[in-house]
Amino acid sequence: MAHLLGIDLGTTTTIVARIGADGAPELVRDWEGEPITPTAVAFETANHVVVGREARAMADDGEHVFLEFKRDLGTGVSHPAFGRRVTPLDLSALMLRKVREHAEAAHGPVDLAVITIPANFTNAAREATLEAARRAGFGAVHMINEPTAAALAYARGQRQPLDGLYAVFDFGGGTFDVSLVRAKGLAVEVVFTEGVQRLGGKDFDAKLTALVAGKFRAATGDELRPGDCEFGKADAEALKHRLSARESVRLPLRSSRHGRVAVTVARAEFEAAIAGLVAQAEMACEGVLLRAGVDRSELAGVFLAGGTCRVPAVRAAVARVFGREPLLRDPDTAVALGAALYAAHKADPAKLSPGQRRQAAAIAFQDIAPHYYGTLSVDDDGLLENSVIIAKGEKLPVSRTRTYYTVEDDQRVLTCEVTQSAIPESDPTLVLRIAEVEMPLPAGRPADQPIEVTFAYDLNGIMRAEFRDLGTGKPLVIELRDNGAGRGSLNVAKVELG
Amino acid sequence: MRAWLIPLALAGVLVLVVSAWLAFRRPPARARRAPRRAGLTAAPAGSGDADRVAWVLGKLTGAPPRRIPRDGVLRDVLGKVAAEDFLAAAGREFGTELTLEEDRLGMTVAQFAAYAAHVRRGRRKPRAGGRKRSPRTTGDALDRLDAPLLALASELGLRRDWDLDQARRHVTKEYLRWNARIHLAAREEERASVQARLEAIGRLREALAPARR
Repeated sequence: MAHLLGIDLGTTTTIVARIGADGAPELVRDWEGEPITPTAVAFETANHVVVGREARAMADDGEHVFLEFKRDLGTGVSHPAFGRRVTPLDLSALMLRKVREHAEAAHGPVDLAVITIPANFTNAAREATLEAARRAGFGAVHMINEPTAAALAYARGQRQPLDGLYAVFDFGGGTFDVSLVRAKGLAVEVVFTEGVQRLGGKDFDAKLTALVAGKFRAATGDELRPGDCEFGKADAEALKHRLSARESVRLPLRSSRHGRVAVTVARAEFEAAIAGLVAQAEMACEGVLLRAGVDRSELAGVFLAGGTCRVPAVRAAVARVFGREPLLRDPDTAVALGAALYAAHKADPAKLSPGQRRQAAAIAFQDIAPHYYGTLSVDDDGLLENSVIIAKGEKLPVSRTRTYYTVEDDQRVLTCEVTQSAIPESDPTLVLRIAEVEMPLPAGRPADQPIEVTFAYDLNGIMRAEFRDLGTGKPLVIELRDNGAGRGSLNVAKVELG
Repeated sequence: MRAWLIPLALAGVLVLVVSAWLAFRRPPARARRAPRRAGLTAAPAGSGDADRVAWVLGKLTGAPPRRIPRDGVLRDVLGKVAAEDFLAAAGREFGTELTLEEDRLGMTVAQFAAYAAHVRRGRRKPRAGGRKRSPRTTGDALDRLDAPLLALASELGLRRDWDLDQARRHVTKEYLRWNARIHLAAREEERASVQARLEAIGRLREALAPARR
C-alpha cells in the first residue's frame, strides 16, 4: 500500500489527509492528536524550533514567532531571528518537515505528497512552495489548486453522484479562490478559476480589531495599545467566530489605565466593516462567470471551502452572486481530503493497494490552461502589443497556431517572446515575459515574411512554443516546463534552433 | 607685482560672485507661487469641465491651457506645482472644496475634471430630509461617496447616467484588471499599492450595491 498524503498548507492552519488501504481519504491527526494544526513557527533559540499549536500560543508575546507567512511566499520578504534572516520558504519548509516526520513516524515513508496552493499564486510562490516541500524531505511532490482539491472532496462526499456544473468558493485564512468545475461522479473537469492573492479571514480579523479599537477609543479617549489593553490576533479571531453565531457580543476588555471597559460589537457593524472585502470576493465570482461565459442559472450547485465561509455575510454574498444557497460541509478539511484523492490519482498504480487502486481508477481529471499565453507583436500603427495565443480556460492538451509577419525589409532578427497574463491583456507592459529568444533570419528578404507561431501545452505541464519561418522552413522551439510546481509556473527548459 | 593690487583683485572677484548669485539664485518657493495663485482668473465662460481644469493647470504651470494634455497624468502635468495649490485653485474654479490623496495623482486631467464635477454636483444637490433613499442611479451613489472613493470612481470612469448594474459591471472589470497586476508587482511597495487599490475598489463596489435588508 502506498503512503499518500494531501497537505493543505494554509495561511492560518495546516491540515493533512492520507489515503487509507480501502482508498478512502482520512484526516491525519497531528502530534497533539488534533486534526487541524495552526500554521505557526517559533524560534526558541537559534537551533530550537517549535511549530504548530505551541508556536501559535507564543504569538502574542513571543519575539521570534512567525504566522501567516504563506502570503509572503515568493516575495523578497525575510525576518530576523537570532542573528540570521528567515524567509517564508524556510518557515514553510520547517512546517512541512514536522508534518512529514509525524506522518512517517505513524505510517512509514511517504510515497507521494500533494500540496495545495491558491489558484492565483504567482509563479514565484509556486516555486517557493515546491522548494519548501523538497527541503522538508518530501521526495515526490505534486501540487493542486485549492478549489480543485475541494471539488474532488465534495464530489466524493455526495450521496448523489455529482452531475453538472458547480462553483467551488474557497475562502481561507489568507487567500480567496473560486472555480467552476464540471463534475460527473469523480470525473472532475476544471472550467475556469479566479482568485485574489491577499484576501482571507485574517483581513476580517484586522477589520474587527480596528472596530474594537474605535469603540475602545470612544469609551476611554485612549488608543487601544498592547501593554495597556490586550486584544491580539487570537482575540479577534475568537470574536469573529462568536459573531458568526450571535447578533452581538459584549466584550469585557481590561485596561491597566481605565480598568474594565465593556465594548459591545454588533454583527451588523462587523458586516459593515468587512463589506469591501466581501465585495472583492463577489467580484471575483462574477469574473469567473463572465470569463467562462457561464450564466449562473446553469450551475447545479455551489460548494464552500475554507473557514471564512462560516461568516454569515460571506454565505449571503455567495447566495446573492450565484443565485442559490451554497452547501457548507467540512469547510476546513475539504481541501486536504481532495488533495489526498489527487495523490491517489497521480501515484504509481503498481504501488497502490487494491482499495487505493479502485479509488484512483474512479478519479478522472481534466485540467485547463491556467493563464493567457501569447507573444509580443507590432500592430498596424507600429506599436508593440501582446497577442494572446492560448487562452486561459482552454482544455489541456491544447495547440494553437497564428501567423505573423516580419516588419522590415532585410530583417535579420526576430525576437521570439512568450508572455503570460491573468487576463486577456494587450498592453505589453502588463504581461509577464517568461521567455525571450532571438532568432536569426536570412538577409535580403523584403518585409512581410510569414512566421507561423504554434503554442502547444500538454498534460505533463510542458509548453512548446514554436516560431517557424515559413520562407526557410526553419523553426525556433522554446520548451517551457512547470517543474512540478503546479500549472501556471512555466520556466524555459530548452531552446532549439532548427 | 604691487602689493595694493591684491586687495583690489580680491574685491573684484567678490563683486563678480555676488552679482552672479543675485542673477541666478532661485526665489523662495512661496514668494514665487503666491502672485500666480492670487492672480488666477476664471476659465472662459462656457468651458467644459476638462477645459476648466486645463485652464487652472495652464495658469499654474505657465503652459498654454490648450497644450495641457487631457489624457496626461496629473502628477506629470503638475510638475513642480504643489498639489495643494492646484487643488485650492481648482476648488475655486469649480466652486467647491477639493481634496485628493497622494496616490490619486496618477489620474488623468480628464479624470480629475470628472471628479471635480462629481464633487460639485454632490455638494449642490439638496439632501432629502428625513429618511434615506436607496441609490437608483450611479449619480445617486456617487453623491454619497467620500472624496477618496469619489476620486477613485472618477479615475475608473464611472458615469453619472449609468444605471447601477452597468456601474457595478464596470467596477468588476476594473477590479479583475487590477487583481491581475499583482503578479507583475515585484517589490513589496508595489504589491501594497495594488492591494490598497483592490481594497478601495471593493469599497466602491459595495457603495454601488443596492440596499440590503
